[in-house]
Amino acid sequence: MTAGSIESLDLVGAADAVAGGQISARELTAWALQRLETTGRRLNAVFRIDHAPAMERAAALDDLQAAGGPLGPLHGVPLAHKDLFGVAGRECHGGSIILRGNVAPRTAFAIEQLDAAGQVNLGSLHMAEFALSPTGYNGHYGHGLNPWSEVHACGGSSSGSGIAVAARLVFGALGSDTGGSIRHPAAMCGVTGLKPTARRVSVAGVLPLSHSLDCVGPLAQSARDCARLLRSIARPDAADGLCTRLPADDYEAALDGDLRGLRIGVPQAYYCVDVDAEVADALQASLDVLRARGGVLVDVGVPDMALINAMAQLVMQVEAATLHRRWIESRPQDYAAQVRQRIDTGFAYSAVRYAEALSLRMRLAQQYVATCFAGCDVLHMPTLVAQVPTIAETTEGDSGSVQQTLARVTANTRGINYLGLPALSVPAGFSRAGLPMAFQLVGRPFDEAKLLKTADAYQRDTAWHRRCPTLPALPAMTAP
Amino acid sequence: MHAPVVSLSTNVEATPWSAERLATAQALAAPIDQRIAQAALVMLTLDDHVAAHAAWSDAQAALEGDDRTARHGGTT
Repeated sequence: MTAGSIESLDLVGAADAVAGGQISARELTAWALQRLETTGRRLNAVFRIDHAPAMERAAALDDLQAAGGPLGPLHGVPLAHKDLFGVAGRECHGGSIILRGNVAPRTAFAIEQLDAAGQVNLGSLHMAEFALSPTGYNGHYGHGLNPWSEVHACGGSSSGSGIAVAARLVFGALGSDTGGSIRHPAAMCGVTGLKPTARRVSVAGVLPLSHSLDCVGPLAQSARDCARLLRSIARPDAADGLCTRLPADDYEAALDGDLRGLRIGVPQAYYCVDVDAEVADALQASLDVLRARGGVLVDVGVPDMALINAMAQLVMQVEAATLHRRWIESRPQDYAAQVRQRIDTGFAYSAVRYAEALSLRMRLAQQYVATCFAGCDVLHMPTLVAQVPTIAETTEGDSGSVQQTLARVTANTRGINYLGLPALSVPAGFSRAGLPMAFQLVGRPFDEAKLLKTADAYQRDTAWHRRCPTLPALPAMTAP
Repeated sequence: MHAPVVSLSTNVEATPWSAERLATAQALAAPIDQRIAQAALVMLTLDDHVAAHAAWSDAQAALEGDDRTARHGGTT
């Protein structure tokens, strides 16, 4: 295969190409390593590249295939992951300088599952410091650069995961999502990103930010790619006592393109207020596609999202403050100011308020499901109500306007984590400025299959998720 | 090292932070704190706490076809 034809593959296509013998795991891995080392470094998408272990792994997978061994669903597919997933014996610093040199004692459960499925893990990807920025801001290691425009935010905190998939450096990546950290980079970089139901995927071996809200999920080109990745990682794990023991659905089997009778809820409050005009047009166009596929559009009401967002913010900040207290007290200078301020705020709430926020979680989740899903199967809304902000808009100027910009980024994502619901960000077009726009699908608990089915049907009739940014030419590929 | 935090209301008051840092944290927290305090007063009773816990346990058990007694160590 030529470099150009490799670049046109998605994750499922890459797995099929290896399984079918069109390309070896070594050739594919060498291609991805070179892209990570060149474009990945230039876009600041990468923290660590494991060249030798990756090539050894690829060779072992080729040997297994040549010997007629069993092939996993990700056999020979190069992936890389956010730097908060532990890999035993390798550095994992969570985008911080406080944990620089920290060697992970164990491999994260989700990474182990991808290994078992046949991935080639190339290394760790850029992320916001301790996962505490919705834009990809990192005061220590610099901003990740959006491959569509380097002056615009790339989204965070799983910034490197969004960049690496969008720039076709790897075929998929894991991220984590506490208030939108998978969906923000997916939306801003133009890829598909899934935040599963709370504890659908184990968080064991993952650096925490907020144990009540953290979720692990995939970013990839398409809903089908995400379905394959989710099926691989959604397994019971005794090491995460809250991880569900429900078996994962066969998410790929549900992707039949048929939306006849599926009720798609269109919120008539909150999510549709103050939406940028170009984003609103893209959202309407996406609804037209879904309707043409057989979806039935239904107006739905929305509960008090200001309260739900407040709950999410308090829980996240208190739990982050708890985790960081020792370092905040002893090494405050080692946090970027924007990050430290978010953690500081967590110390200013009382224990009673935190307990109230957790006590109301079930009631508010039930109320949300009863209100929003009484007459529909999935909710459809903008992932971001505004266009992708510039880096300057999220870091410079007065604190009030920066906070306002950041609040608009998280407006439609943060509350979903408090409610524990699954959500999927889907590329839905490009603004006149050339930046991606996206819609978000939200479902009932553990109904990821319906979100993926809906997005896959949309992606059968659109090509936004296939669009690839124009990047500087790479040097000729070296033979493995 | 400063003394351990002992405040029952706001942890920040017992920190060695500057007045500005402390005021910023409290100012950012205040509207959220008040929003939740008001909602909790209206929405939460002791019965709600118990019901919420029971609902969560029931939902988990129903979803997982679980033996609740075994899952919760025989304490339910």
